[in-house]
Amino acid sequence: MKKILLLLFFHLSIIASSQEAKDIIRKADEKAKGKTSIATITIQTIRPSWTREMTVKAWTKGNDLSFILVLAPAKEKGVVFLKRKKEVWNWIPSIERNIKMPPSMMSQSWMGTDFTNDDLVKEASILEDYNHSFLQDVIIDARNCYKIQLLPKPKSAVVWGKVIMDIDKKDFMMLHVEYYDEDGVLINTMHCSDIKLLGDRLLPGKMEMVPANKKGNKTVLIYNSLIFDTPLDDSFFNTQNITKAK
Amino acid sequence: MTATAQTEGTKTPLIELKGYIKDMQSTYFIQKIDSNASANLIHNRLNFKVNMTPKFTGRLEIRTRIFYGELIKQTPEFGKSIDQENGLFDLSFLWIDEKSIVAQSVIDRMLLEYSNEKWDIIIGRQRINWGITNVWNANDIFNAYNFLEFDYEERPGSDAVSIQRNLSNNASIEFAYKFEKNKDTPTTAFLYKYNKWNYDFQFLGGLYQTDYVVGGGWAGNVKKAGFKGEMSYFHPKKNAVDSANTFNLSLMSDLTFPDNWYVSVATLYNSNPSNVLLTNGSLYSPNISAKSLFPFRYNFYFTIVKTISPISTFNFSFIYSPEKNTLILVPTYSWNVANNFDIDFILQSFFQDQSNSYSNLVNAFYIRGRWSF
Repeated sequence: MKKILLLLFFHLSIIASSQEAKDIIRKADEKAKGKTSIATITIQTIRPSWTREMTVKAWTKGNDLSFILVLAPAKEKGVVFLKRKKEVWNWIPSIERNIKMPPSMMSQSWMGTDFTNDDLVKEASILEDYNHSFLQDVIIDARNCYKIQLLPKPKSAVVWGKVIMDIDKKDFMMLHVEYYDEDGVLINTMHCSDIKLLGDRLLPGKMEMVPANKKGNKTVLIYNSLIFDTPLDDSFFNTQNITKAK
Repeated sequence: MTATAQTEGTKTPLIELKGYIKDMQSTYFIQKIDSNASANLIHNRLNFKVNMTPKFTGRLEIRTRIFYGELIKQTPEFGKSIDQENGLFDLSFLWIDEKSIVAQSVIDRMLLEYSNEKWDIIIGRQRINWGITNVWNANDIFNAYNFLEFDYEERPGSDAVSIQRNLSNNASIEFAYKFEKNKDTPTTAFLYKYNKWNYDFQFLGGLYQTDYVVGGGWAGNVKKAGFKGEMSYFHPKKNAVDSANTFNLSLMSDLTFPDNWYVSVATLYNSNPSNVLLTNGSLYSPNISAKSLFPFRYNFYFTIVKTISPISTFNFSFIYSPEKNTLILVPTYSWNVANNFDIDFILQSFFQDQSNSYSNLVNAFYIRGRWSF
């Protein structure tokens, strides 16, 4: 009996701990996203023999709605990606046509970066599609962090086999994330730095995504500006608005 | 109101300018590459946008092309053949028309736009693009195009008025009226669009020159693959000897695979085919219309794209029709050399059954550089 109680207690403590781990991820996620956000972001794609730079303006509302307008380079200026729940449209100004993207396009690289379209669309899944547990405490760039492991729930359709996140204990910032495949092999590492006030919140202004097996490759995201919680009506994320946002 | 485009933090300049300069070398040859004819094309596009107020904007876009080389010399009346203007106003200027050099500027967009959350009203020369699929657009009744003409992705404009009313739930209704040269036969139609079950749907109906037209289309997916289609039915207003009903149906599906492979298949059925293939796709505009998007009854298109790296892509497309076993091969290699500079290598090879053999009609090879600003 004692043994069973002990087991039950142990089990409950895992649930409690997993709940706390999930809450920490949720706090970090909510802090970085806000109710809505409007950001201008510079994206550098770095390869051993070349680099490219792109600037975008991105509007988001919750996990379901996002709108990305390309500001540079010149050839892609005015291109829009609109996401509503699981649907994605791509406005191409040179042909003045709005193209609905097939779901399989999600696993492709987003405009030549180390991010996939899926990274843009399925961000919600870090809360709903994974089970969360604490691993240990770590120090990242002189900040005390929780190391949390995310394992996909049995039936969830996620890309990763395992994700390890280091989250700042005081300010709930994701500082270091490792993405593993189903065989437990490290695929991508994201490291965040340049912590500063962005939209009145303390957040990393720079994120670097480094693929593990491609030497000299990385993608760097730099937040030039970030505003949280501007009221945005859902109709802002309609296909009719795709030609209008500035 | 927050649904409008403007959000604080961005100042929109009064006048915006973007565009490009391209240089394209084309070489045409039949079977042997050493007996060829070539031409060079310098191509500039200037897109001006005037932001008068957040709701009123204007656009003026000018396309200028300078052609020279042997092939121009060999083509009789080349200047006149490109100086075609189908609009209400003649905005095409042929400013050099010599035997070996031809220069032309055309204003293909000149419009005023008013838009708020509910309305979009555009008056002037504009692109009204109602197409859905990637190659053959049965619903593109205002500015149908020839997809082999790859060097003009913007497509010509129509002199038209279009009024769109945005409805709730991502639906809209649009009315467009295009002034044709022959005033008695305008193209005018309604388009109703809505989104349901993760599909976009649209229905259209109206007048297309001498015909009544009804049509519709969809864009959605079956599992992971994109699934799109569009169709139009044309019925002559008056029964004349040479008039006939025409039905066009275009279907496509596309799918991506790991390691940046992309495959797309498309098909076009045309009930009233012309069966005349023009093989000079990119230098001139063959007679393409919404009723005749491609010359044959059954047409198939297949493309496979391999993104080799974020800056280089290989695309292999082919078009096949059982009519005289017509086959067009289009391999393309695209390289983004620098942030604003691209080079493309494009081949178009045409094959068809001739009276006594299956032969290569013509090959066109293009090298194109593009600087965007």
